[in-house]
Amino acid sequence: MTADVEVRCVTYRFGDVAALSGIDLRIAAGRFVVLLGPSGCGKTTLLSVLGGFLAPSEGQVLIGGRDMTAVPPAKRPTTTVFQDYALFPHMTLGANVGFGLRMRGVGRAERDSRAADMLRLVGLEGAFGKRPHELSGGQRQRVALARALAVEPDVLLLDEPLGALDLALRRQMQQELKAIQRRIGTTFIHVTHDQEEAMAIADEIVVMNAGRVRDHGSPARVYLRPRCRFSAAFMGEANFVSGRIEAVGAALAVMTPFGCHDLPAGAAACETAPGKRVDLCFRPEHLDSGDLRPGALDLGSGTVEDIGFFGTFHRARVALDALGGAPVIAHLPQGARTEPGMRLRLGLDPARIVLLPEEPE
Amino acid sequence: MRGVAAWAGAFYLAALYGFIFLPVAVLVLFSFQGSRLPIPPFDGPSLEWYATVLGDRKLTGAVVHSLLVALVSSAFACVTGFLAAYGLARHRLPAAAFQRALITAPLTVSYLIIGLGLLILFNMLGVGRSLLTVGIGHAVINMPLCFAIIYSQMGAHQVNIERAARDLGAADWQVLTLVTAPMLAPAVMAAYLLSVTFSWDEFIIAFLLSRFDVTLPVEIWSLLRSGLDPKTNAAGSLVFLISVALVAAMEFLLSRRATRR
Repeated sequence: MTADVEVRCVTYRFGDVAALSGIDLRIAAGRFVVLLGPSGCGKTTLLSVLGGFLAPSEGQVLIGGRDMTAVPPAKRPTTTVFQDYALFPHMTLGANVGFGLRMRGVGRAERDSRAADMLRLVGLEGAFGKRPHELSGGQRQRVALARALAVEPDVLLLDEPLGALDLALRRQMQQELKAIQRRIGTTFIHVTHDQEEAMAIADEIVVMNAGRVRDHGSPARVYLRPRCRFSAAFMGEANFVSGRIEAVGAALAVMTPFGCHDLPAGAAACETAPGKRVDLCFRPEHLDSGDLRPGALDLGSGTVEDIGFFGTFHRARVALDALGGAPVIAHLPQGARTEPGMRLRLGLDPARIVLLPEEPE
Repeated sequence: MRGVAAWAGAFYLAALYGFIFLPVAVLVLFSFQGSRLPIPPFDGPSLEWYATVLGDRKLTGAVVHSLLVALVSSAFACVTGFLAAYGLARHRLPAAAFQRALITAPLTVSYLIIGLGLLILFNMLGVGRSLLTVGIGHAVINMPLCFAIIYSQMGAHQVNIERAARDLGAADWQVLTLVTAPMLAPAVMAAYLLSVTFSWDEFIIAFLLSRFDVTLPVEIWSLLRSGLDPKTNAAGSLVFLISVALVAAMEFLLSRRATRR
């Protein structure tokens, strides 16, 4: 049971404030999509609009090609997994999982057998007769998942389902969610503010901020070739340096603080025209120190201001001479012996640079 | 010094509890009196007066009336209080704070005023005084109480649970009967038992609004008019015992809920 989802120009206003403005989104059937953004970006509001708990002020929601904008939650082919689990405290797990089937008039025997199947799917076989208060947080979330999946929804909506779990359990549940989604093929739309979680589970990430979709693509695409500065910064650490496009041809000639360089035409995530101001974006792990590789873009030398050990790398803040002492963040190899105050020469593979439309910090 | 303070504290505590419970203790003690007057010296114990009470058709009849009024009026107060609490907790209503205050306001009005008001109203409407009017009076005083208790237990964390039920296909009445009410069962039961307790030993309204069939407190009052008698003590002790049992049951329900959280 699966369906595609289409959001057409949806706006939602709380009084005068637009929590969502002009959201357009197409999600193919059977995809695992993560809505990612900081608190207050509108991702949970969008999920509530998809689930039917909020009616959009403008726009349409289509599920499986049918207009669902005015359909109440009970009549939608969607179910929701809530962050606080929202299990029925007075019912057994079996009755919790079977509740949706009961509402659909399924007889007791079949309901119970399907509830037992669903509990087995989430790894809780044999817990049929227990009550929610006997379970740990992770187990409760599994029951919530089983309950939402028991009615075979076309689209499953997950509202920060792993937010209350500790890190190790969260990792484990991420893998299980992904495995379950693969097995049943239902469209999953999952809300989180954790970009690592998003990358770990998503087929597609939708980056949101201030009620708008800022980026939408595969985790690798969104991380490596972000479409905007917000998306680049939210997906992980990024360095931004101002530049100006000088010439557009087979390659892009870009004037940077490190001199004029030719970048591949595909580097631009914005319209290109000579004279256009852009932000050059590159990740800390793309910076090399020491001897430059052939073809590398030379960022010149700088002074290490601060360094920290993060296990797989050293994170260094380097004040670059070419930037008038403004710092960039570089990830140095695990074995690097670098101290604050040392001079360091940094280089960068030009293919790693993304040109973003200039926008204020 | 600390010893003196501790002794003073203990004395104060004993005096306080004595002040509260001595009248009840005396009442209960002299219900076991052997002779005809409930005054010292105590010459019991004897169960004679309990036998008299239980053999008195008027008193046992009054017990049945009291129970009837208490159980039915409390059920009514509980259901209406629950629905009012649900409406105010779950929906955005115009002037919600004012409506809430209006519902709980009768808690601050004296029973005498409420009783008089109802008496005048029933007279105007031509409704005769009976157990029904007593029951209506008790529903009036207990509904605000039930509302306040149940409303206080309706938290935001239940909103998502009700949402989940709706999401899984439940209609509004199914959410109410299958999820909200069972989830709040301890609070509803506590409200019901407290309401039964209040109705059980309520006198003024029962006195003003009843005529031929009377409740137990009214019957005890008419016994008192014929002078002191250990039989009255025995009847009073029974009223007290049942009230204590109800309050204990309520405490048990509420504390069990608290430890389960």
